[in-house]
Amino acid sequence: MTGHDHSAFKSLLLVFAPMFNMHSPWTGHNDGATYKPIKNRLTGHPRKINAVTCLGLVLAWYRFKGSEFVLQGWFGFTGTPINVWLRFGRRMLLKALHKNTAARVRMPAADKIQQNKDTMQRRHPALKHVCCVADGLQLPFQSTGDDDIQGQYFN
Amino acid sequence: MFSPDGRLIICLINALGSVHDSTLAEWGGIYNKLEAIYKQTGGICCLDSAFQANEADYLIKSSNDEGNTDAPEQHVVNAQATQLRQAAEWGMQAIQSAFPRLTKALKYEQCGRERQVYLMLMCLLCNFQLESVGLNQIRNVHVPEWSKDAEYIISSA
Repeated sequence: MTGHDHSAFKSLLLVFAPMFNMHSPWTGHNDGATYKPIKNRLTGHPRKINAVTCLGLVLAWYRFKGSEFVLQGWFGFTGTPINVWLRFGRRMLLKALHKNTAARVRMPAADKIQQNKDTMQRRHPALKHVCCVADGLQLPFQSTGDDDIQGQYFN
Repeated sequence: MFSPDGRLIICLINALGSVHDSTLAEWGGIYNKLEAIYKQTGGICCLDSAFQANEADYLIKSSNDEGNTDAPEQHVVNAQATQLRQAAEWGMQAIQSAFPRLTKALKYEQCGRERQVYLMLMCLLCNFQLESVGLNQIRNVHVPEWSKDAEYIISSA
């Protein structure tokens, strides 16, 4: 359901849980898109969701194409709270992975590029010095409800 | 952009679907990055013929047109570039299959900032999944000594 096996989920939880526990989505906007650090963890209402559930919710959302009300049933929340925790969980996961060496998107170092070149040439001897491949990907995951606008601007 | 071990090494996200790949690479400074890498390490990027019309030393483009050169060596290079570029398609398929939600149009979420969060997180999760789970076709083909297949995952579970 999450696209990860147990050990991978645990390693992701290891970086996610501190972020989840040290921040709060209750900033006044209460939409999950904003968050603030928790100053005193001894005050306030106890949360009805823990880091495991919130991480599971975020990962399951990516893997699931159905309506969000199905997720509500799976995770035991109604519509508004699940949206708040989903948005908050995404932001905390992004914050956790942003500087994580296993997840970072960055060009490798010069010695690694040399290694990549050797790897590519081993399989394709005529291609010398090739170290990476590129392509574009069009994801139609957000569209306007107006078919005319969709056809004119976004196809 | 993918390295032979399957990692996402450069990406440009949150652009309109109508923008041409090459234009996007120009706008996002990807050509400049590739040029800098070429000058620094001599590394070349393999991509399809949709990218940059003019010739650049740091790009090698796949070609299905066999009549564009008389040199036999160039024929071999073109053929192998076309084979290698398949790896980019595998990478894109890996993203789409790992995150099925993104292949389904969302009409109710109109906030652009939220879309950027989905996409940034997708790229990071993609690399994290590769390192932690390890199932990736590019890696399985190009670096078989690091590869894992479904049988390995099931037997070690």
